[in-house]
Amino acid sequence: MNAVAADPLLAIRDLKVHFSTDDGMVRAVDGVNIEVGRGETVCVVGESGCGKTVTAMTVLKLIAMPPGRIAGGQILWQGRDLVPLKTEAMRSIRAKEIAIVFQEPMTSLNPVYTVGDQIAEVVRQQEKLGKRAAMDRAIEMLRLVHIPNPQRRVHDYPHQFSGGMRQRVMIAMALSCNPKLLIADEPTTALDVTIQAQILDLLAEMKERLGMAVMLITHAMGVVAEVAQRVVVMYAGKVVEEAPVRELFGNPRHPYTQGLIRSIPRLDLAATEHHRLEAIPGTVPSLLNPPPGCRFAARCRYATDECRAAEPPLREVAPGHKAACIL
Amino acid sequence: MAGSTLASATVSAIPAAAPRVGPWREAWRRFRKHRLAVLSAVILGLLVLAVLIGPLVWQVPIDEIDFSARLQGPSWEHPLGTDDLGQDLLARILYGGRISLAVGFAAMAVAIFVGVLVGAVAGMAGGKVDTALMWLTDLFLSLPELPLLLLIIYLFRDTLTGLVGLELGVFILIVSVIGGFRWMPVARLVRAQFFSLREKEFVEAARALGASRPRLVMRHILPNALGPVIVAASIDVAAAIIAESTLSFLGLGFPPDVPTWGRLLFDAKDNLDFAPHWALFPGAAIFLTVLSINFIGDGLRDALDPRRIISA
Repeated sequence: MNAVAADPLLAIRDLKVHFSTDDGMVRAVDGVNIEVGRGETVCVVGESGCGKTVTAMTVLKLIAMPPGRIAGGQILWQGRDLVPLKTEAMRSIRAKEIAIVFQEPMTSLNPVYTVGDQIAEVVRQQEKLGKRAAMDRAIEMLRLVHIPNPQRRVHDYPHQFSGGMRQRVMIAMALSCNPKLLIADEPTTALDVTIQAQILDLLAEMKERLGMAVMLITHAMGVVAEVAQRVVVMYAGKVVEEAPVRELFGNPRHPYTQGLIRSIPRLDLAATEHHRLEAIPGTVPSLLNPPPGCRFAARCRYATDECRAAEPPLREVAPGHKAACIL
Repeated sequence: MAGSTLASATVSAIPAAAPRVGPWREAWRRFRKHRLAVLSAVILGLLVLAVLIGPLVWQVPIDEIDFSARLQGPSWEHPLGTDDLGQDLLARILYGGRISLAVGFAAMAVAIFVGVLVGAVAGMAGGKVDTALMWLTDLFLSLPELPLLLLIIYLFRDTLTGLVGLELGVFILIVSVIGGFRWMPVARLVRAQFFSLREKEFVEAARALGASRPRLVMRHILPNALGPVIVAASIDVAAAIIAESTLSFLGLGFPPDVPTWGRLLFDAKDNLDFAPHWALFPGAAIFLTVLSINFIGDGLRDALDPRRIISA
């Protein structure tokens, strides 16, 4: 289970990403460490605005710079640091080594080209294949992601596909160059529940078949429980807890994680008794001037003066289980 | 799986779709459904054909003066009548149409090229480059067009005609001044489109999968920005033909003996009372050209947008 080998595929080390705004410097990602091993599925969870997406986008250097800036840290891809790489060098990493799928399948495809053209384009520029070969690959990829009738559908335009089908196309496109790591940034958030399950199954199947690693970014704990091997919980630009999935759900150490797990809707309880869904009170603090001490202290029911005084470090509480809480 | 059954049902519902249709064939298929546009294309095609081969078929000299046949209405001898010097109007309209149409299309091409270039660079670069280019655009927009046109033509006509000959020199000059004063709206249009398109998810997705910047612009942003540009282009052709008429009217276009459509209108205006045919025919030629180009522009825009469903 614990796949963090000595040589991880991707190792994010003490990454700091800052955005300069009119009001000052926003520390969107503030010293994050995440490792993804070969063939491993890592989930990054946290509520909106906690830095998950920025972390993911930074790995491929897709954040707008300026106003964004990588203020420190390393992104080690198979031992090589991506932070100092120039745009050209980054381009050869994208799709071929690390691919990404976004949240919005409805708008992530170019409306004026057929889906086949778009998949073939990625293949052609990254693998220097010919037109025919690239189109054949596109058909093959569509078949792989279970789009019925791929020979015909390859010539259809994005508006002729439903949301779930488009997300399949996006996944086909992302996987078309056999990446070693797929970053999925909330790939199911915009889809309805039955389609969500299909897409998650598809991701799991692709991972099995192609032997790639997956870094899944989500805010839905239900999704985490379903697919993750290891979970990283982020809060306000920091990692607050990290554990194998069973350990995390069985023995959550950080109050924020506990809150997240409690806020999963329980259908079995809701139907029989008046069980109120618990929410974590308050909102994510401003990353402009983060308060000293634990960033969750203001919303934490166990917070003490000690919490508010100094920031608790991320420490190992059990084998493979780290938490940034003094409790 | 529910999703797949649904999708295959949709597929089988449209069996008429050919297995492999290129994007241009597809666009042509869609264009054909736009009846007005097809009709306009036929009319414009006939007009272009007429001015190209007309003077070879209707071999009446454009400048043969015959005072015995002044200001005559249409007859077998002169199908469109004659002007105050007895010159055959059909021959003059056919010959002048070559120049008017050439000026219209060439000036449009200049305006669109400059406009798209400036707009794309401004929209893509943003920041200081964008600010500077938009100042330039505003500067051009605020210049009084006509006095400047006159000045430019007055200053450069002789040099240029000395270099490449009278007719070609005037042609180049007129095309570049008309085009050079019509790119600003196109630039603004393209810039605005670029600003919204470059933030679109599909552009980001293409970037995330390794597309280079030129590729993003040429393949993903520009084609999506083209719809309004095509409409602007069709309006520009019309505007350029009319602008050329204005210049001819002021005596600064082609030499007076070159019967462009604008020139013919100008000459005809004093005789409207007793020789309306003189103004009517060149006017109709301009009207038909401009109208058909506008309809073609509409049809093209719809045909090139795959999202639009065109009913037969």
